[in-house]
Amino acid sequence: MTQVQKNRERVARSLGSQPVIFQDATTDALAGMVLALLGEVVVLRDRLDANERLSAARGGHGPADVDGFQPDTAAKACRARNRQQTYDRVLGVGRDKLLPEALKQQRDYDGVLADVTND
Amino acid sequence: MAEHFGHAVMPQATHDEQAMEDHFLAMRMWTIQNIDPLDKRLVNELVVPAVEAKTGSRPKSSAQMRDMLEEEPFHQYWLSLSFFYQDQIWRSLGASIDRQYAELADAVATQTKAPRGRLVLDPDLPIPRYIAAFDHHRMPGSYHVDVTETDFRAGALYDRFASTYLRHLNGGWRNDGRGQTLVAHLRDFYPDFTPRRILDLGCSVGHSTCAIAAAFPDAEVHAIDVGAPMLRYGHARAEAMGQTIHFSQQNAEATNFPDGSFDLITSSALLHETSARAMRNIFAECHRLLRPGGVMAHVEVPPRHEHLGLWEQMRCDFESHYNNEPFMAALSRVDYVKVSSDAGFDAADVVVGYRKGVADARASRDDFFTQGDPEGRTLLGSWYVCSAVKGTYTNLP
Repeated sequence: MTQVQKNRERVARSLGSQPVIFQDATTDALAGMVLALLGEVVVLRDRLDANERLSAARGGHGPADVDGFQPDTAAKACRARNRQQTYDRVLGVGRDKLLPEALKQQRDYDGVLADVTND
Repeated sequence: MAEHFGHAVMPQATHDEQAMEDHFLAMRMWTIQNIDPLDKRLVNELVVPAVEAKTGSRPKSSAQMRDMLEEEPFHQYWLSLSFFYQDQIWRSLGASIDRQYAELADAVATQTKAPRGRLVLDPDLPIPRYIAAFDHHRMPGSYHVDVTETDFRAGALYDRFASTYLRHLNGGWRNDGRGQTLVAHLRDFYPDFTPRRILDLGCSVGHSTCAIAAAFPDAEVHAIDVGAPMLRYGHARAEAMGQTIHFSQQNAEATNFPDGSFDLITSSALLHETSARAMRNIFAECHRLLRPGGVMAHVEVPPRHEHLGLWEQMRCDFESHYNNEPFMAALSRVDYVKVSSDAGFDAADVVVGYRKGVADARASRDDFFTQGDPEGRTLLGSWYVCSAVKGTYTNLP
């Protein structure tokens, strides 16, 4: 049985020090996004590597086939979902770093509002 | 089908999740190998002379060069690589745990259906300020936030993190290198000691507890922590690993065990996540809980401050300034012998020093040393250890 979840906002980010390392918060955000993006690229490269090796082992498609590949509707929908998750991980860094405190509190209150009206 | 990693309740990784973990580890290694040496040169060749030119004397501690160092864009880059890495690991691992939460919940329930060891929680236990006020090592939710009524998420997250962060450096998926090192220290300094009742303090998910329990298979082993989700996961984990450990939600500063309840009391990487006052209370509680002739042994992270070069001190300070481990830097200056003797132990019965980390608990005095590296480096793969006997050391009959 799936249990009701709570405290999701609380476990979304760490409580405590949020220092600014570079000359300002915006530069910190940019640096963070670049580093997050680096992770995305490295993982993608590993996945491609797995894909190509598995395919080659079975006598399957090669680079030229990939160059000419056209995604169908289902593939496009899948890619769209993946993109949103990627943007959340990468661009979310900037969002979390630069969102003003007053709006963070509003987000927390929105959660409370949802809880009490939907209870 | 991917091979199952670790024990039965260990979170598993998809291809992409494993690739992201591998990336984090590799990026950290790249930083250590490529950026750390340059940052150290920045300190020694540029910042130290600049501080001397400005103040008339060389900085004697990292605190005296911090402001100037943190204005350097290259050092800011070093900081960002070290700092952002931590937050991103938690984000990535957290998503993995959430993906498989239902499966993990089933595994936890299966392992604890008819447990050999007890689990006693106390929802009214106050979470101490040094745990509640911020999230240690930036782990969102720290050790104590539940996301369901019978949550284990923090424990699963911590277990998977440890297998990533320390990889092969602390015993693989068992992550029990500290526990093995602690046992090695006991076998080295108290060779005939066979405790019958053992208490592990701040056990988290039982990484070290399981190693200690395995070393003394005839002992009754208790383990405490303030974090309920850590204990729920640790309990299931110990059951899955065939250990019998009795977990309870308690604060090591003041437990509900009677005086003289234990022969051996241990902790592994607990103290640096408490406070100066808490450490004094924990040592006093150890003294109360030990029977005469009993032993306490603590394994810790930070090397002695006086043994570290300036860059290495800064690296230790990083844990306090940026990584939500505020007591880490201060602990490297604490006089463990004094804290022990103030707690009631005889200073002559206290042992402090560095212990080379071991994968299996071999007892060799060659692995123990009291001086740091002559170059002021952290001795990689070593831990700081403090042990003490209460009253006269006697073997158990």
